[in-house]
Amino acid sequence: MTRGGFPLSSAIISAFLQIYRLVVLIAIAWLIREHQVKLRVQGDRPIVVAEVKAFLPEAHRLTADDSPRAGLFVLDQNGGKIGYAARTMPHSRKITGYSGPTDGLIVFDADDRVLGVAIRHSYDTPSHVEDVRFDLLFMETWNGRSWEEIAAIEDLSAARIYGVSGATRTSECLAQSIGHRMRVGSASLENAGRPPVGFRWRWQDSALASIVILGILFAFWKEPRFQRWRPWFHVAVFGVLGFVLGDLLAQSLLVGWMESGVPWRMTPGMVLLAAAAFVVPWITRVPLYCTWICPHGHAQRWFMKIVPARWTIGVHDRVKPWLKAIPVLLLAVVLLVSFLQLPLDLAGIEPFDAYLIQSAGIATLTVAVVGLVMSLFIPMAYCKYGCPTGLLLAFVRRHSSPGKPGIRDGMALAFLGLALLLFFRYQEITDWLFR
Amino acid sequence: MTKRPLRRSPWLTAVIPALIGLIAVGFIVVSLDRAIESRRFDEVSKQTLLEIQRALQDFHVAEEIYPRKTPLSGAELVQLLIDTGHLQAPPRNPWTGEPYAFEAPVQPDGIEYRTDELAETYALRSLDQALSDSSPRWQLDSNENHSLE
Repeated sequence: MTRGGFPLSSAIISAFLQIYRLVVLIAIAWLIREHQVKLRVQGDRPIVVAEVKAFLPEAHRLTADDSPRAGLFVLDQNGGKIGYAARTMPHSRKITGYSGPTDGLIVFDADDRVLGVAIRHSYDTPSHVEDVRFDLLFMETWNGRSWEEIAAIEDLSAARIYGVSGATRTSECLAQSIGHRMRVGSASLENAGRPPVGFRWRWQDSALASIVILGILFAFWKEPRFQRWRPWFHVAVFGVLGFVLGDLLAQSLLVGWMESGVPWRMTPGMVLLAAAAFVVPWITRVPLYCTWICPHGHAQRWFMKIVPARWTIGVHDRVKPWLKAIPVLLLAVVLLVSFLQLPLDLAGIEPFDAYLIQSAGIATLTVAVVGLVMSLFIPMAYCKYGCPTGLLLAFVRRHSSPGKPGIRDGMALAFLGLALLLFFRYQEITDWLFR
Repeated sequence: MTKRPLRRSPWLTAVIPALIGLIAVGFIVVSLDRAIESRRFDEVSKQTLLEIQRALQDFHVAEEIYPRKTPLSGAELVQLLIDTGHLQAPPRNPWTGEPYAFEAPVQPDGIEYRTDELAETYALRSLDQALSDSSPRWQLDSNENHSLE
């Protein structure tokens, strides 16, 4: 039994592989997103399970809460939510006691009532901090109160929260920090229902949507009278997408979206372009973005034609796999930069920002110029041997030989492994690398 | 014997592309290494500054003023805090990666301490890895910047 010329089993394996490729990409994107949320919530001094165990002995694991409360869900061994934990810093860094701010830990039970408060660390005078830490009457003042009740406190005395004698400023600093932290979460929660900005569609989005629609038409509608306009479409895309909009798909853009969310309200046209770039090759095998849209691809195709064909060099078969490893290495760099928060501008590893000449960095311009010069002699040199975004788009693309996992599928698994390692062993890795 | 066209010569098809590839990989590795080194410097300089700040606070609790001499380099301040018992051991000098050494004749040091006339306030600043004076990497003081978070 065959389907489209291939045995049915091959078709099933092929479909399975396509799903696998999508799942791997989504899993890596999810890990990057979760990691950023964790870093944002935990800050410089992450809350550890042992701290929470003092109040919730069954605590087994903490997971970051991406909601505006920006705290941590406390989970038991079975993964059930048994409480919530939040720290006052860095929100309260401007609230100072005698000589500095104090980082407090607030632990809630499953009913959102405070189980206990602890001082994690303080920039205040150590002896005053110790006085506050050991004043159980003060430290238990918040017990039994809910997040919202604490957030509503305006006058500490009216709420029967009295400073510690001899450490008044330090204790009031902690009390105000806790109130401020709760208010920050509550104010954000009030705003959470409504979007920070409304959906907006500007002329740039119309231009991007037109490029996507025309690109799809040129890729699939082979009517000769329509295809006659193809060179003009390439010129228009090169000018509009490259120099006017500067909206090229790039690792810096994709990583930014993974870390901070997809801005579909702010730049819907760009999101449409990215979605089409991934979905069309995933479904149809047609590399829509790389072949039909990418301005740098068009530039290379034009550069190829500048020199006579006899001047072009066919790269030796033995060297090709080594050169093709360059974009793989770049994707690994992208993962490391994102997870480890390395000060390396990802725009510099690709040429795409070069089209925004005024803001392009030296690294970007160098990659763009070297790539174009090389394409004079090695056709599409940058696309084949340098482009990590192209590699990413090629990975999701349906392959022509169905039913066989390729080397890219194995590499994707290795990338997922690297992302998992960086996600779950972040602390150990950063301690080893940076301390 | 027919002569092989130049564009098919192994020099052009293998050696030169391989060299270009090696150069590209070299740039990538060096950039990554620099980024890791820069992040490591940030971590160490942050820890060192926080350690000094903690000792300064202890000094203030004990003496009720901050060290009077101003300005002081990182090494001078660390020496003073060790001599007065507020630091147990010298923290790492971020620019050498080694603990502050006081016998060493010259060591790069981008930490600076200042106080006011009455020694009631303090300001600590730590320069970047290149020791450029234009903008400090970290800044702590008793008025605005109490923490590095």
